[in-house]
This record gives sequence, structure tokens and C-alpha cells, in this order.
Amino acid sequence: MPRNKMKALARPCLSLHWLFLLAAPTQAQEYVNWVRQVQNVQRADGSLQQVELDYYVSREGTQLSEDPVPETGALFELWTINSDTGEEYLLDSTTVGAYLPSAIVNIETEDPYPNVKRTRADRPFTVRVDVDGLVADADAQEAARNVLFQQFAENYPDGQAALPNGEITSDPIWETLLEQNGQHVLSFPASALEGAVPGKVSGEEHFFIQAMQDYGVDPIVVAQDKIQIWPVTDGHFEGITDNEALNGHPTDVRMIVNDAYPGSTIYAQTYPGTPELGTDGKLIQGSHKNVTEDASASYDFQLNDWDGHFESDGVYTLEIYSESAFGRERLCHLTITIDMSMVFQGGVHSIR
Amino acid sequence: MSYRVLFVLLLSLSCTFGEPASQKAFDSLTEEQLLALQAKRKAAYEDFKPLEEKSGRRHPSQASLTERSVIISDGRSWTLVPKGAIIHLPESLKNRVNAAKSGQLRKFPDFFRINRGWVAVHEVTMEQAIGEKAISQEVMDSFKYQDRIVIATRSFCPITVLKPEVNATE
Repeated sequence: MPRNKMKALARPCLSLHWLFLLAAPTQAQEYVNWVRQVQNVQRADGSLQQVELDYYVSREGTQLSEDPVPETGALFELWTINSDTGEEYLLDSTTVGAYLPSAIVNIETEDPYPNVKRTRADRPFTVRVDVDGLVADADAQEAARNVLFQQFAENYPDGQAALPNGEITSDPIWETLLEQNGQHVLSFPASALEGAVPGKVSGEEHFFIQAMQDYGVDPIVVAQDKIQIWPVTDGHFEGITDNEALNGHPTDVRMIVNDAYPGSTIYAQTYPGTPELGTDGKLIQGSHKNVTEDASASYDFQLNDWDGHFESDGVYTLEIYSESAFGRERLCHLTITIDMSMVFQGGVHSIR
Repeated sequence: MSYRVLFVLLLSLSCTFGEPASQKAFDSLTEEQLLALQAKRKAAYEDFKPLEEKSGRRHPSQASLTERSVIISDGRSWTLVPKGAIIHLPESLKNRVNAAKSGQLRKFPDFFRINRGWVAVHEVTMEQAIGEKAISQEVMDSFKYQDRIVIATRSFCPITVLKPEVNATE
């Protein structure tokens, strides 16, 4: 295919424009931002090696790349690293080449957390792909006629909150060839991750756009994005049962919450009467927890402080809530009846 | 308002237990609801044509930035440079390379500024970086006389330098 029929870059150097949408660093968190350029180099023996080059960037700005982008393409990665912990986050990446199409993969979730895209196994998310530079000419190089769009999904190893080497070892769960420019959208109502218990899964889903190359050369990743998936949260009380009758304050009650979502708040509450979803009740002391971890977490709290909760006989509702990026979610509820005048069989015990 | 109507109004108010809802709430999905949701996932692919046969393309390598870099540390701070950017490493300074992430991370220019005593930079051309041309032997030999780690740079940005091709000239 004559090269002059290929779409080429209009200018020899790529202008990098980036905008960091990170939360403003707190006194305890400072981030160092930079761009890593990865350039493929065809060696004399036909092998492909890579030359990597670092640029250091501020929170927002525009900068020309140091050298022209080679025909074999260059990958530009936008990284930010916590200067205290060394944790690194790939914020964005794009591949540019003279005969490569361009693409953007962007995952949209309900969680605005800036450092990594994440959601829960039962929550929806959308994948938007924008492709440009594809040509319909049958004589054009394969890399310019279509791109491979793949979806990978893998669970985290038990007890882990990351994939080994950040990679998914299994085959793609879905793939297709995109042959037309424009926007393509995938809208998922829930995660593809599977497990023994539905929704009790954690892992990642990765989406790649790869330009297929001729002559047996490995395809080039043109765009990518990924999302973390956390398990569905569940909660229950122990030491107390639904419709239980009590002649005093509950004792030996525990609040159990499994897989609280990162960044969420969990708590238990009571209020007079039967359950009414969305009611603002009285917080039970010792039940409130802000989940500050970057992974889901489980909690087991002893609930001892019932002062002010059951001030008169009657029916009461106990509930456990999780408030997160997905809203105010009731994990469980039960009803008890308080009757201070109840007596035990075989004796008279007055509580009053 | 008659007393009878007022009584009814007070009675309706007294039936409101707890505080009014401050945020719209929802109940967790049941397992059946979740399974139904997962079954709907296939609809997401309806607008796409499936491949006639598998592409055979595995997940692209996703090495982290740290895995593709070399850590240089002065014990109080550390920095990253791409693998292959260190073109001279004296024996006495080997313990400062691939060290732990000790202290605060600094961008290379800042790290270099405070460690000029044992870190040096050498500007290379792109032809030298990709191995088409070799850094002259005279230059490489000169590094031996300075007890400093030498980092290859392009406009002061650390860059990998590949092994020169067999027929590369200086």
C-alpha cells in the first residue's frame, strides 16, 4: 500500500495537553506528576524494543514532545505518584503514530473518586470509545482499516486488592473489530466478574483498543481504560432477631457489615415504629464508621449504648445503612417490641 | 378551622414516626434481582459485530511505572528514571540504585539538583538512544574518572539508551 495514501500526522511533533483532575492535595498527600513516553524501535534483527523518556508536568499545561513521533508509534502515559507512599496511578494514555488511528476509551462510573475508576459489582457503568483515523480503503495497511476492541475481566486473588503485575492472564471475555470512526458505547448494568456468590466479587475489567499491524509485528495499544470492581455490601445484626420482644434494652448485639465500599460510611440506627425506608433515626453509638481504605472492608461492632433509644414501650425498628457514591442504601432492618412490664416465668422481676 | 378538623390534623401529624427522610434511600438488591441484572449485560454488545474467530491477542503487558524504571535514592529522597537511562554506574554507588523507596519522591531534575555531587547527566541524540549511533568510546571512558552515576538525557529528561547496533557508528 503506497504510503502516500495513508493518513499522516499534520505536524512532526505531538503537542501534549493534559489536565490533572485530581483532588487538591492535602497536607498529608502530595503527588508528583509526569508523562512517560514509550517509543517502539525496530532493530536491525527485526525485533521491537522500546525507548522510554520522562517529562515532568505541573497540574495543568501544554508541552511539545521532545522529538517527532516515529512511524512505529509512541505511547504517552500520564502518571501521578504519591510522593510519600510511592503508590502510582496511571491517569491516562494515548498512542500516536503516523499511520495509526487515534482512539479514546473512557469508562464512566457513579463514583467520582479521582485516583482510580471503580464501582461495585451490582452497579452500572458505561464505556465510551471514540475512534478516528480509520480508512475504508481495502489497500490500506490493516492498522488503518480497523482496530481491535477487547474486554478483559479478572477477579483479584483471595485476600488481595490488586492483580499480579496489573495484568489479566485470562483470554478476553469479549472482542470485536471496529471499522468505523465515531463514538461507540457499551452500557453495562453490572460487572462481568463471576464468583461462587453472585455479587461477592472483586477484581478489574480492562478495555483496550489495539491497532493491528502488518508483518507479524505485535499490535499497538492505541487507547485503554480500566475499572476496579468491589463486592456488594451486606449487613446484619447478631444477638437480636426480627420481631423479638424484649423487656429492656438489647444486650450482646453486634452489627456486622461485610464488604463496605471504599469511601462509604456505615452506621446503625433506631426509630419508633415499623420500618420506613429512608427514615432518619437515632444513631446507635459505636456503629458509625467512615471507610477510608482504598479497598472494601468488613466490620464487626459490639452495640452497647442504647441510652435514649427506647424511652417508652412500643415497636422499634433497627436498621443498618451504607452511604456511598451510589446513595443511601439500607442493608438490613428488623423490628423489636420493648415491653418493660413483661415478667419472667417463675418469678416477678420489676425493671421499673 | 373547626375543632374537629384540627383534631384530625394533629392525629395525622402524630402518626409520622421518626424524622422526615433527608436523602432518598434504597434497599440492597436481593440475589434474584442481582442475577436478573447480570443477565441483562449481554444487551450491551448488541450494536457490535462479534468476531468470526478469536483474535488470539492476549492482555497487553501492564508493567507499572516502577517496574519499568530504576529507583535512585539518597536515603532521604528517591527518584525514577527509565530502565537503560543509567549509562555509567560506579561500583561505589551501586547501593544507591534499585534501592528502596526511602523518603520523599522527587522529580529527576529536583533530585539531580540536590545530588550533583554523585549524579551527572549526559545529553544524547535520538540516534544514540535508539542504538543507531553509539556514544563515543572517548566519552564513555571519561565517565570512569568521575565517581558519579551518569544518566542519559534528552533536554534534561532521562531517556533509555539501547545497546548500539553492531554496525552503529559514533
